[in-house]
Amino acid sequence: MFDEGRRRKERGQDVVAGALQPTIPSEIQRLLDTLEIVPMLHIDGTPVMDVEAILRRHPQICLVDGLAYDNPQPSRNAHRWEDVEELLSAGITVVGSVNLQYIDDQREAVEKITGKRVAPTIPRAFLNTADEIVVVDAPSDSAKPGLAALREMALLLSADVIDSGLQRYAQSHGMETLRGTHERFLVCLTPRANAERMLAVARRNAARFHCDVLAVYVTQPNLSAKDKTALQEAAGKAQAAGACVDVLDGKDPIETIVQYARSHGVTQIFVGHSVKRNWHTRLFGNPVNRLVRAAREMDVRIFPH
Amino acid sequence: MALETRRGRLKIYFGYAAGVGKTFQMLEDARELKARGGDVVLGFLAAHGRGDIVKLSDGLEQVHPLRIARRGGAAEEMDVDAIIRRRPEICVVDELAHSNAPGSPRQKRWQDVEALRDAGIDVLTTMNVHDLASLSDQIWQITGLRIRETVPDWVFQQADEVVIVDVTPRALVHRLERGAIYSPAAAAGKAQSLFQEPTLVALRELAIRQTAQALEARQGEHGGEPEGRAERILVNITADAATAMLLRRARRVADYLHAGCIAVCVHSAPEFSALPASQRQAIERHLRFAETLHVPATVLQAKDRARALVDYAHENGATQIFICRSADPPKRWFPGLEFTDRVVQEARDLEVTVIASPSRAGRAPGAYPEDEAGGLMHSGYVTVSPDMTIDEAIAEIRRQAEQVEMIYYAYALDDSQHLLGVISFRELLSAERSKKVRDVMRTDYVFVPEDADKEAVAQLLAKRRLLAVPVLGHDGRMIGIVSSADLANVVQQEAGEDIQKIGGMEALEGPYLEVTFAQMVRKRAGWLAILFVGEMLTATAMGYYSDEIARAVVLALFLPLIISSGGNSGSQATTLVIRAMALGELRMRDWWRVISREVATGLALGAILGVIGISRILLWQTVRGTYGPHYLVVALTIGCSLVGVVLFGTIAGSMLPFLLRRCGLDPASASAPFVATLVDVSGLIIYFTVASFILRGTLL
Repeated sequence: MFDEGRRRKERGQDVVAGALQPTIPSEIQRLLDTLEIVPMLHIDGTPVMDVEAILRRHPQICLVDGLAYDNPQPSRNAHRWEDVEELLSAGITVVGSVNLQYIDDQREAVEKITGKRVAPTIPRAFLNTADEIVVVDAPSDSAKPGLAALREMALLLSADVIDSGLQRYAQSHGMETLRGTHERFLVCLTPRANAERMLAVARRNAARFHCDVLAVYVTQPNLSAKDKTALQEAAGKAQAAGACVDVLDGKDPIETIVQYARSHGVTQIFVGHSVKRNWHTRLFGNPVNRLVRAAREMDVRIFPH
Repeated sequence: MALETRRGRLKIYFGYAAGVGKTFQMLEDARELKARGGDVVLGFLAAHGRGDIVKLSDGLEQVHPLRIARRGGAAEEMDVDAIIRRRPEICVVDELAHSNAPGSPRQKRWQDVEALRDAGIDVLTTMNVHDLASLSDQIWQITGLRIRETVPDWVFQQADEVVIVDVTPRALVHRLERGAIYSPAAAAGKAQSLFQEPTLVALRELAIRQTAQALEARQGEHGGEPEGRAERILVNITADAATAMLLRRARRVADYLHAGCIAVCVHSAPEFSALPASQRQAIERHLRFAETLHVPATVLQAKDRARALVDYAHENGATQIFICRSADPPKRWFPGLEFTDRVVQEARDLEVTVIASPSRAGRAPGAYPEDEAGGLMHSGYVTVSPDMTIDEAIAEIRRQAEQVEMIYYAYALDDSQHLLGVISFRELLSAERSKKVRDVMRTDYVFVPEDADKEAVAQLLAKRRLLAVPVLGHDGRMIGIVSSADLANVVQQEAGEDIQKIGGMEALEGPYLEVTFAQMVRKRAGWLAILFVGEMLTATAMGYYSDEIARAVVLALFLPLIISSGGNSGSQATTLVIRAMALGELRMRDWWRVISREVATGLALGAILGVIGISRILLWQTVRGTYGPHYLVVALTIGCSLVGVVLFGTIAGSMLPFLLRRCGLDPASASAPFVATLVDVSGLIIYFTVASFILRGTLL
């Protein structure tokens, strides 16, 4: 990060360092010598970024080492990432660094691997707003499988952050969601489909693909009370399985589902299919076949029940 | 000397686009390894004239590349044998996805790398995310480009280490604009296609996910975490072009799920060899492709294909069947009878996944990159500089001629391989000798982009009567030519099908002599029966005119003559129009021009036939007196009828293809016999109407 600061300064940009780590290795110190530093405040012996001084100085770019620090009680903001938000809204570009374990939704998983507990975290939503993210990647030693797992998590996290940037770009430019970068599953809940099996498979596969699972059902006016309870049960199971459940309204259930899938960038639809057959379905096909034909740009995975 | 060698390790420097710094970092690591006492050589390095790369490679030992002579010059490829003889610890090989020039010991550089590793040499190499074979369709969807040089996924997965070399897309675009990657002129072209920021962002996301997946797969090897029953995917191979995509998708899903993947082709012909040749070739190609993806595949014969597929899945422990949507339009009346639906119905305890049929701006991807112009082209062409004089250019071509098979055109290129103009040999030889190439070359030349569909290229060549067409890359540089000889079999295949339909049968889908007797009869009988029923209308019409025939028997003598003339002229017109349509000479909006030409032609042809007919009657009458006292009116009747029938025949024959195309049917099935039947019935009516008009009061 400081090396990038140096490069940007050489290209003529106005760069300052706003926050440093308590201990500075010698090679970093050499880089810092080339940069202007806005000294940090010390409250109760804890270093705190001097937001006011930086705002007054108003550089183009501010380097913030360690985004996840908490500020002590009588500070401007409780967390350093909130300081950063202030700088950003003042129009200052911030280049910051953070370790994987300090991101709130990653902490638990990292703890499982390292066994170390960390207290301060930054919200994932804050990270998602980043304009750019770079993984500082060191190839893992195959002797240390724990490190490989951490590396993988860091890569996946940055892929997700990149993806949310891409979605923002698509939205602001009125483009359709760009397909092909990652998977997203949609489970169609119906009164009789084997929701449990579909959800279990979806969750297992989603863990492999590192992707989201969505679940929907379409409310229809002529549902029996029994079907209604079955649907609600299925929706409850989906929620418990970590899927994001939506209830849709529409005259034609198939059309409604396909539209929803399209607008949510779904790549694979999971749907149940009754094995009961009669001459009518044999000749004219059934709703699942209609879904297959309507959802051309997606995989349709059909579960018999 | 039997040496027990361990297999060499493979380390891949992986990036999302050219210019992220893969080669740079690889060379830095190589230098460091050397500094630590490693025995490192450069096996192959494409510096692309970049100073930083050349500087870094300085001081590293380089094994001289192999020179391969080929059409249009010589190519340099990695000399694997020399490296193995040299036997270093570590070999640096740039661009793993490279395809070697024809005539090299191996087709692909990844195969060279496999050979090095088999010899116990560690390899450092570079590749881009778009080089991965199974990602081809996703890359196409993101960029609109089909990447021709790919690496099978299993090679990537075997790598002992994958390092992602990453810069932000913004930084990459900066580098590009500064000209650090390509020369500025080329950069402008590239920037329009691949190097757009959202495209780069998407590719970057894909590359990072792919690296994470590679890491995970490797951890799986160490730890192992079986959960639930093992998944096993069965891919249904058909002649459908989408099968290629199906295989790529299945391979990818199987890799992610740590599932097995097998494939089967079920056909209903009595023998595999009895399948129509085009289907057989398509299936064989898919089977070969499955093999390169490490998907074991078999071929089965069964009457009920859907049931056989499901049975095979059960017997082989498959848990999921992958099929693709049929490319044909749905059977409108009974969709339940379609293959996809039937498989879903038969698979009572198996999951069936119908894979996506992606499209981009309304276009579906080609099955294989080879189907595009870029896959057909070759580099056997001669180039000249625009500033040469004609004399110099001719001398230059003579120099290059021995490396080139056929010469039709010379191409004038600038220093960065951009095509400035084209000059044909005729033009070159007839030009004044002291003139410059620049002054006589054509700058309004025709070219095709490398991803153009080969059928479109074939049409272009036919329409413009060209012998070869230059292929330009996405950066505007000339990368090869496609000659009419390269396209000969493509066109033959297409044309064969159309001609059989004109003949009034279903397309045979195979060489005439290879189609079995039963197939031949089946394909032809259906049409004949329909036409036969149609011809029965002539009997009805004749019955209507039986009074006239009874009164003037002489009319019946000329009946076959009249109606066959109509049928013949109609078939003739149909054939001409269909051929013109197939060659792209005629479009829907041209119908009016066609009809006005055909009316004039029909009248003229009718008049010619009429004159011949009348002459014959007059001749016979003078010689034998066959036609009785009213022979003049009979002759007049025949003459007028011929004009009417031939006119009607040409109009009907030329308009039927337009009508069928309008209705969304293949105009080639506006078969000539169909026109003949139509014209037979109406010719009869014309004949008798004319006769009753002219002969009233004399014979009738």
